[in-house]
Amino acid sequence: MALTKRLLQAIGGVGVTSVLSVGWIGPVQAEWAESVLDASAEYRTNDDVNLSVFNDDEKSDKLLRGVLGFSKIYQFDAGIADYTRLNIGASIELQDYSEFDGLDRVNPGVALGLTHKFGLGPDAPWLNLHVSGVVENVDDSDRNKNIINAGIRLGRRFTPRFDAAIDWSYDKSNGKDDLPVISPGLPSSVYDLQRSIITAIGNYQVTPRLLGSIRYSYLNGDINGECTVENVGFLLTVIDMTAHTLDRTFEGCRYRFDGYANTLGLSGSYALGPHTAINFGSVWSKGGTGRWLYRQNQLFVNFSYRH
Amino acid sequence: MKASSNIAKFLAISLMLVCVRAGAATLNAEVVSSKGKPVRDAVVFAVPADPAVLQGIQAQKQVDVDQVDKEFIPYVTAVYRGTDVNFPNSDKIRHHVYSFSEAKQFEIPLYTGAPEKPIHFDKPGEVALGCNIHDWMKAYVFVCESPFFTTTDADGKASLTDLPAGQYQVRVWHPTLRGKPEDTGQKVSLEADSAPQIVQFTIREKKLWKPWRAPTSTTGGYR
Repeated sequence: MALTKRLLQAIGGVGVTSVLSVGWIGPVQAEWAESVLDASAEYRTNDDVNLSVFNDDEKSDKLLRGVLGFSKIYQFDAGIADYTRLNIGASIELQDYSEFDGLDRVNPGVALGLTHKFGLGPDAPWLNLHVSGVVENVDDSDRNKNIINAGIRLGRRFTPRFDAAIDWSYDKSNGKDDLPVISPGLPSSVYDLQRSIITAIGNYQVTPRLLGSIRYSYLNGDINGECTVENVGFLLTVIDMTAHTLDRTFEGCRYRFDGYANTLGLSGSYALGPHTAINFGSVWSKGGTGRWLYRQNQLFVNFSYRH
Repeated sequence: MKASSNIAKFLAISLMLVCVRAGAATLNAEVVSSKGKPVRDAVVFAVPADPAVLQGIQAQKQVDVDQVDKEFIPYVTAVYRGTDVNFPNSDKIRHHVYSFSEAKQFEIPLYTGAPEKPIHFDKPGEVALGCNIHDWMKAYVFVCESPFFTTTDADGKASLTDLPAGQYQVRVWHPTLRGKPEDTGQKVSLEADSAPQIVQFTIREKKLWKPWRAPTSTTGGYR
């Protein structure tokens, strides 16, 4: 019921943001090119959903995730003309956790991307500037936050079978201001996060129907996680904690510190047709500071549709 | 009087048809891969030993290669040299068609509907087509040096009919063909009004890849 209510609120948000986005494009000398509909349904397991650096505090969960997105791609018709495109999209994401219902969420978002291809043909490199915004409406409202992300991506197809891209992005989250303060003098704003992320992506066609992908990213900036009240006291003495508060969903303490994370993803896509695919894969993350690291492993399988 | 006039017309037309078909021969071809699987969309063409046979034969006025659901239709189009190929775009979005091939280099910048003018293909050989927006869009025009050509069906079979009697070298081409069409040549001698001759080709194939189209978990790429 709570998820349904959140969904209705979010749909309203997407509608407003879409109208604003399309209105924004008005004065630009661009010509409508195409519309793209994206939809996916996913099942995912996560063995450290609370990102705890203490093994005993790690909590695992499974979730169903659905994403519906619509984007319009505009083709510039002057100057750099045929090689530049503007992508405006709106999406809505639903996450339904099996055990920790407090993590259920509905995330409406908008995205804007400007892509320029440096020449003619499939091997020409391309550059993409992207900005996106997401409003996270979480069942545990302490976790509500707005996220903006901006970045630049450079990609190239090296052969018909292999393409690669490198991406740098800056990510800023704004959480609630009125979270419970545990220690006077230490802020409670654990969901206010700022980080930069460098990502490298490679895709290789194993067979005409099977694509293998590798994705590595390095995150530098704010990390947050959760542990028991007892452990957070110890953690305060060994790391430079920048915020902490109570965590209703995991019944412990949420904390924030400056750190880093390495994430490696291996995935496969099996094409069912030109518009549909089954994607599957695994994502391993290790992040924290010094020897205080969380280790998170995720497995996922999804059905994706794009038209 | 009127009935006898009609009979005379019928006889005259029948005689004309017999004259046109007199001396014509049929060639049936079958193309399979080195693994024995039928090869679809292979172009089978017969090059006459006597170039005089080609005199007076005009290329087709215009052939279409369409674009539907962000794919070229058909995948392989065979034409006689000198043919104009039009690239109508049946999608509601714009495409940007190009080719880097030696036999024909051209570019039709973004357009919807029909381009302003067709592309003239006058040099024999294969022409690989692409779309600069949708990298996965791939198709081929094969420009034949002979007007006697056809393409194979899903069973790898094709028929060349109404061939003038004489000596020919029959060749095959396919996008995956390893080597040149000349290497596949088979000499045949066709006699007028004889039973169809059968030519079989077993071609060595190379792997041909086209950029991925289906959605993936690592979104991105130029599109």
